[in-house]
Amino acid sequence: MKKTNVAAGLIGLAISGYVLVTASKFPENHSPTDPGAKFFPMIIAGFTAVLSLILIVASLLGKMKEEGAALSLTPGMKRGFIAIVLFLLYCLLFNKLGFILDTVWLLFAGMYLMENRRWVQMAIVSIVVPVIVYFIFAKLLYVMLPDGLLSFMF
Amino acid sequence: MGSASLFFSSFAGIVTDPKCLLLMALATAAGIVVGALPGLTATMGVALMVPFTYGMDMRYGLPILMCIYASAVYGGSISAILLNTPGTPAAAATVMDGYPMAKSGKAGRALSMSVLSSSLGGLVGVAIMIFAAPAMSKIALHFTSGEFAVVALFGLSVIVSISGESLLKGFISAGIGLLLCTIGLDPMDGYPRFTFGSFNLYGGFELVPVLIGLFAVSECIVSIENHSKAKKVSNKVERIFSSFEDVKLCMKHIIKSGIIGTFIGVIPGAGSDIACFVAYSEARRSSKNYEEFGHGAIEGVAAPEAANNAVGGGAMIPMLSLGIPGDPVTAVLIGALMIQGLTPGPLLYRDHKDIVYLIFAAMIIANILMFFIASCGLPAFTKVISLENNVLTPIIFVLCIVGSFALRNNVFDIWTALAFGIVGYFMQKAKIPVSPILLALILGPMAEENLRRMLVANDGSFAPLLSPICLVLFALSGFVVVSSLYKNKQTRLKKEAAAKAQENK
Repeated sequence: MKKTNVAAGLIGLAISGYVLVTASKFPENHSPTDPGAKFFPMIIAGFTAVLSLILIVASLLGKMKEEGAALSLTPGMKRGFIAIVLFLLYCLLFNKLGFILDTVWLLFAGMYLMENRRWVQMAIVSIVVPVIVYFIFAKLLYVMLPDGLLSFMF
Repeated sequence: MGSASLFFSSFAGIVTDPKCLLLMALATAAGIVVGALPGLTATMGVALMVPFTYGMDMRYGLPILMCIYASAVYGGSISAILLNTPGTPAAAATVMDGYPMAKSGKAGRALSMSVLSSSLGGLVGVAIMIFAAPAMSKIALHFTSGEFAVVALFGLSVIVSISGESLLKGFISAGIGLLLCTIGLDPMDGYPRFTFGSFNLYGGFELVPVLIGLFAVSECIVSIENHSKAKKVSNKVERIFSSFEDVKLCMKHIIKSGIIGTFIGVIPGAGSDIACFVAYSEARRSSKNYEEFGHGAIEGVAAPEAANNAVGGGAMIPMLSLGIPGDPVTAVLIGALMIQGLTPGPLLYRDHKDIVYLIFAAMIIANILMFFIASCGLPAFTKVISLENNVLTPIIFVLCIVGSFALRNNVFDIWTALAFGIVGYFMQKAKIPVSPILLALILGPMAEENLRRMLVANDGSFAPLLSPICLVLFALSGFVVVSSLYKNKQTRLKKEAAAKAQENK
């Protein structure tokens, strides 16, 4: 769909525009021969802005052969958005619940979202996987995964 | 003792010692797992083993480290092929053709070729290292800031051939990537750029969480979206070793990529993450099936895998002869040697030749061992992946999070992975290629830092960019861009001709 290309171009333009405006305020370096902190970002931003404009114009003129996917709310995309929300929640609760508890509910919810209804399998996987991963990474490799609510156990 | 006899005795010393071989085999297996898990990289694997080898005899410690190095770099290709997720940055180019092959049921062929190219590529690297080390280390000494900046430019020119159908989108993607790598403290004067007050961003985004996010997390979201009750494409492994036709097709790419990987490894600081893309680009340029690249060409798996293992041999050259790390892993190895009381550099060849030859022999055996162990493991890998998607995908997401966290024990990195996962998901929707962002993130800092350093060191003059090495690299970059554009055009013409033929039927 054209719209996806135009949207992508607009986002590119917005990002480049923001960089151009912010970077122009970066201070000059004391060294006369160093172009300073603003040099690289501004050149790249200018380059990206021009390309984004070309993308927008070419899409509107119908000249882009490479179209983006349609942005309609299929059941699939709804699942995708729910997945993103679940992942966000997971990261938010990572420290509070601790790795094991957080992962248990996420695995269960993720499998349920993907239409798994084999309750026994889901229960086993949701509990066994986080525990194994925790012991390998936290105890064997000394990665400091948060214990959270289970900190009394370790 | 003559050099040859010393070398053979080191070789024999390892091969006739069952304890050594057993430890190496275990290290190889562990290395493959480390490489395959997205989030654990070869550098991490080697770094994790160094403390263990401290208490060991060098005769065991060094071969173990060599094995982990080689097998971890190979291991990244397993998840690249099966899960569209490079297990290590070195496998980022392998996803481009490896995953399409897996989706069409050819995972076995891709995996077998990956094992073969990795071992052969590694052996090419070692061979060049053994015979050409003095000459190549002289070249490494001539690299100053100007040359590094042009190397980065050369690496970026490869974007043209990995952008797939739309060059414009590829360049926009690279542009965004280059802007992303300006986040953090400015390399010359330390001014915080785009850090929004967060000290977590002072060093910019960490490469591994970004890699995991863009490739793995986005793939998880896509997999959830596309989930259907339909049966998965079966990926049975009928044969463990590559077929003769495949080998014949890919051999010249393997040798060439091995040489490319070795040379890139020699350049201090440039490693397998750049080599894989350069080799892929060159394979596409010189292949008769160039239009298949990006859609499941087996040469597109062979070339990057050969190159990324060859980097090992190349990176050892400046490490052993000059004490300068050729890539991040050799930087860790320098530390490992220093813990044992050995200082890499010219004196190592003079005073500890036995250690140098031990490394040579260990690398050869490591690559051969990896071939056999990895080949035997192939059926097992595909079995793991044959788990239902609705169980596998959530597990992979969790491993991604753990891998991102494991880098610095910092929660910020899991947010990075998630954020880039969402970005990668929408980029896939908009059909904007994701690999250019990765390449830009790797090469952008190299380009900016060295360009500015060169200007400061030369009073603002751009003259060092006219040195012989730079001119060669400029010419190579131009050649890569022009030939890729030509190939893109040929591909488009072929497609249009095929479409017309279909219409006329």
